[in-house]
Amino acid sequence: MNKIAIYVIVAIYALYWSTESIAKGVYLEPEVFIAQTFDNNPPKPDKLWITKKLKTAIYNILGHDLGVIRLRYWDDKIKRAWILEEIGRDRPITVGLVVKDKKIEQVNVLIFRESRGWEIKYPFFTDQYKQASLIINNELDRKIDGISGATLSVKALTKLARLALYLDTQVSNK
Amino acid sequence: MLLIFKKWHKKIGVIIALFVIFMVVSGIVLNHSQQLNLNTRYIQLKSLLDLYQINPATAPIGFLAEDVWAIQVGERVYFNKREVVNEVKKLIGIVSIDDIYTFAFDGQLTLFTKEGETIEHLTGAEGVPAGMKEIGHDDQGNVVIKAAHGYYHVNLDALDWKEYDYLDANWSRASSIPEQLNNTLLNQYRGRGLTIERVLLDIHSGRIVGQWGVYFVDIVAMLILILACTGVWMWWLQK
Repeated sequence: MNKIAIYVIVAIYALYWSTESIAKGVYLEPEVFIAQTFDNNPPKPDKLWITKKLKTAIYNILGHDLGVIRLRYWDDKIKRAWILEEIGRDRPITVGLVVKDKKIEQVNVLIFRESRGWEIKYPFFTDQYKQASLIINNELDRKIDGISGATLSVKALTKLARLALYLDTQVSNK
Repeated sequence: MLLIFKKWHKKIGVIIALFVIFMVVSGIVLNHSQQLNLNTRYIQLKSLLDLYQINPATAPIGFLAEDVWAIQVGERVYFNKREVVNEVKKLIGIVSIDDIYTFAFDGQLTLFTKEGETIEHLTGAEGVPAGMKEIGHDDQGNVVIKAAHGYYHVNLDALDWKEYDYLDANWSRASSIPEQLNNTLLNQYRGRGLTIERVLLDIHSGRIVGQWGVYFVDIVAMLILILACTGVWMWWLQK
């Protein structure tokens, strides 16, 4: 009986630690994401200045300032790639987003630093953003199904999807 | 039998009542810690900060460019007295060109205005070389970087990176931090090292007083279990 109890405890601990170890970390280096997006021939990054007008719209999307006054993006005249960050609960999540024809083509969670909510990295979740575009008030044109236990990470990713689409529109209008 | 259960049920109930109230209240508060901003509000009480040993693992290290200090205290980096970056492993140096201050750390460059406003963060995706060891500047106003696989110079506006076998530069070197600034930053570091959520969580679990606190909370939990069992048992006997 005692042996069974010990096995159960060891199994629970092993499961806990293995879950922790796959939760945090660098899933895809940002430079690899850019290289993959542009078939190993990435364009030189362009820059977008965060003007007063953009600042207000960004605040409305994120609920806070972006924290920088200049952003880089990659544009090969067919699609644009953005690397953006947003805090889930306590720490920033780094996400790579590709926008083509004002629609999201790809979303990749690159670096996840939170202890919970890492399930947002899986394609079953990120695929929901594919072909999403902006409607009125810079909202997405669709409802994103959440993941139980990852509410804040889901919210962060949705904000970044909206932000990437908004920034992309600003670049197109330049 | 029923009388014995009643007697012990009452005794245990009275003994643990205060603890149960505290556990319930702290549990509810912890459940809403984000809405209450407990994870972003910090304890300033010196005795608690001492108890948790909130101090940087190593002495602060600082780099000076013109009149701006880039200082690493623990895992945080400060622009003069303002915390600007967190979770930094190693600050490499600072370079000032045309009133733009570039901090180098952990394979990243972060550019600031003279007022300390963040201009942008540059990483490997923007071409920052891997294994950055030193940062400096040449006489033409280019940033120069010594990295694991060679030397690079770059115009940070255009992001034109050029690789060389060797480059000479005015390298950023660690300087002695003025005592007053050093102490101010150490106090700031301590003041942002311990959240209310963390302390509440440790009180809730008993960890605030170490392993014995955890055992104590375990005992209280067992007593609550006994209360539940004796309650159900008495109800059963009276049926």
